[in-house]
Amino acid sequence: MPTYKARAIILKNYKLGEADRIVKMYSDEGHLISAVAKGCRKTRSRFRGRLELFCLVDLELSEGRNLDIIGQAEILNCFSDIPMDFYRFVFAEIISNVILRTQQSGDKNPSLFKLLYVCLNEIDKTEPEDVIGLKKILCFFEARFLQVTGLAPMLETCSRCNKSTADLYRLGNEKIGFSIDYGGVLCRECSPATGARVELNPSSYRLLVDLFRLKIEDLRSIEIDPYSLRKVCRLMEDYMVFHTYCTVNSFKYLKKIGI
Amino acid sequence: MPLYIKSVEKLINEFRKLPSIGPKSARRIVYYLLKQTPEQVNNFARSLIEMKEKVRFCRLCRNISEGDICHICGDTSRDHKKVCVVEDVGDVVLIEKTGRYRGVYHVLRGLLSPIEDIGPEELGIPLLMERVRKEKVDEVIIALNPTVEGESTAMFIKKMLSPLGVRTTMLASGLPVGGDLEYADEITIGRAITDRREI
Ligand SMILES: [Zn+2]
Ligand SMILES: [Zn+2]
Repeated sequence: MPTYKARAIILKNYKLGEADRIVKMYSDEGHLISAVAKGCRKTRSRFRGRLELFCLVDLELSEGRNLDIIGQAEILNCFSDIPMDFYRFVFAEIISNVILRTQQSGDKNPSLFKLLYVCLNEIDKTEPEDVIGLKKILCFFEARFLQVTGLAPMLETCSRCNKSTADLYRLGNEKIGFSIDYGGVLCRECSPATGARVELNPSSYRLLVDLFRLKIEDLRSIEIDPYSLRKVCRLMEDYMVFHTYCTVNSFKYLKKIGI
Repeated sequence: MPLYIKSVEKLINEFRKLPSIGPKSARRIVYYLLKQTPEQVNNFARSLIEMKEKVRFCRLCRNISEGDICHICGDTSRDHKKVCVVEDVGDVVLIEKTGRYRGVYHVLRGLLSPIEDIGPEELGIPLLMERVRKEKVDEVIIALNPTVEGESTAMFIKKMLSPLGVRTTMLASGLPVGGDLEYADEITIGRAITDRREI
């Protein structure tokens, strides 16, 4: 059987049979890989603890008939603080879920791997129960996910008529229209004429623009009011669901756990 | 032409749905049943149906039970001030086999999972909290797998219990008996160092 090496982040584990697991992961080359780890649930397995969720691992795989088989696994980074706080775990799962639901095994997107790594690393470092910090990271992830998959909304020009909207960021004390269908912001003329639009207040609009241009470490330090954060998070998710046809509903789960 | 007659194929497909049974084992089981007497097969089928009809879930701990309350919760000689939280019904049996535990259980029947949309309600966590409050439980022992999913669920339960002022403990996780340090992973060794004990 031909073998190959891969560096990947583990996104999901399923039990298979008595002692095996199916591991779904995302590689640094930007592939979704599904492989079997034989006997990995046994306490004495050589994989034990090496194929845990969110771990970055170096793997040796052999091509199998249906699924590839993991021969060896070495941990490079395991983000071990994520499971120490339930909220960190929830946000890391939501991010993993977006990748699992939108990427096919044939796709190739190395930038998405980098984004995943950066976001998990950031989640790992948040203070316990820092829900605002985690929501910022989710917002950032969703925005940059759209960017690296070529689905970024238009923010500099009107998505309906293409007129520049650069002045909206600087002046803005009025509401700014955003259309999920057209795929971006609307100018003063188009906004009232567009039926299904989301109205953003100036601070929500500024946050939206910042998500696409700031580094994650700069985002960490800026003050964002909870209203704008919620509004933009929701908008990014609705936008993503509309343009990728995937079903992600993080808000439903967050409500379930009371945040 | 179909490979099997309909009734045989139907049964093979039913067995294939069971955990860790592949097409080969499914065929083997069906051939075995074909050779049995009608009475033997009847017994087999009846126990399946009876199991499903009789087994319910205990209203106190969510363990399987034939009555409203399971045999463990109904046992007055056990220590009802200690509750051990486990992931599945099978874990109760594992802990019972050690003979080292005399408290009661809470069976989650799953773990919290945003991906699978499993929240606290689905795992009966409000029920556990009510029991702790009403029965004045003094210790909750969380015995979940030391995986990311298990630990995150443990952290959530701990957080929900902390306002109730109950002592919350977790199973010690460290090196397996008979294991070799050289073959242990980094996380396990790290954990074994953090959870070290006086000797
Ligand atoms: Zn316009
Ligand atoms: Zn019970």
